[in-house]
Amino acid sequence: MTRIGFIGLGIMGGPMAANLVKAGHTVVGYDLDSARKAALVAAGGTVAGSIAEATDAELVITMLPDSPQVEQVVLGPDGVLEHAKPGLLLIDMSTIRPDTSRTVAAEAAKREVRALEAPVSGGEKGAIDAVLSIMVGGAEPDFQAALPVLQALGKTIVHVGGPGAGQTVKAANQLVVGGTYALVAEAIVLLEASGVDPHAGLDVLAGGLAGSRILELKRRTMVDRQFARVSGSTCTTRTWASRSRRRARPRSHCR
Amino acid sequence: MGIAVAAARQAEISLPVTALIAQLIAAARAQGYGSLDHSALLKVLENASGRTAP
Repeated sequence: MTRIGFIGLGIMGGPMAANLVKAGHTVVGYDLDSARKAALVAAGGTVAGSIAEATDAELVITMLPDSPQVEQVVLGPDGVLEHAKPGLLLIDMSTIRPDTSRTVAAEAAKREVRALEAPVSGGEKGAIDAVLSIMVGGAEPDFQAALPVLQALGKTIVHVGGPGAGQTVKAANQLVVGGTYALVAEAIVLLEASGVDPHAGLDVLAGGLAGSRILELKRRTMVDRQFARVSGSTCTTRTWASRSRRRARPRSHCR
Repeated sequence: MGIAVAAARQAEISLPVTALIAQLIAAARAQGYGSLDHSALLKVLENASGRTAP
């Protein structure tokens, strides 16, 4: 039973926070969007009125769109580190640049906060089903402390190295996924342009050396041109600082 | 994918295929597919050949 502050209740963070509630933890969620906060309450969690309130916990998880949001929420004025008590375990599960994660770890250490980065792979479905792959960067004792909580979110949880290592592994994951999608797409264009049934063609590929999880899970929807995400877009132009702040400029986060 | 490109720059290495994929994803966004799954790279690549779904 851990008191967990969870900041960022979006497409990934929402179901992850709900899974932590299911695992018996006390989850205090924070998001700019009131509908997302209401969803956590419906799942059995509670909500905080501020980042400071969410930080009053043994462990804080952040799940945010990109590096600027993590910088604002964790490092910024009125952010997590400003309010953190020494000894807090901070797990940033956002996918961000490795250098930002290293900065967060260094700044956290100055305040005696134990920081890990733990980006995930597995998408919205993996988040809902609590079967995410989680690649963790940070110190070994902190990883061991976080492991029981991470086990409520994912299936494959690997400590891959020090600060930044988790994000680097996530970047490697992204390039393999993106490259595989691009090549499967070109295979479909070639098959169709040549008058070959792409379903039959990709079925053979999926069973051979070219086989991959993407061919296994996505070939039918790709050929059928079903590209929509499971529940809408992850694009957001919300910003994570108070809107009056100079650094807070809206930007798109389509990933 | 922007993160992979940034990580490569920081590590002072060349990842040419990654750069290409990042550009294809940029094309997907520019063509209005930014809200879709990355499997929508198929749209970009069939547009490149002037083809539409049969």
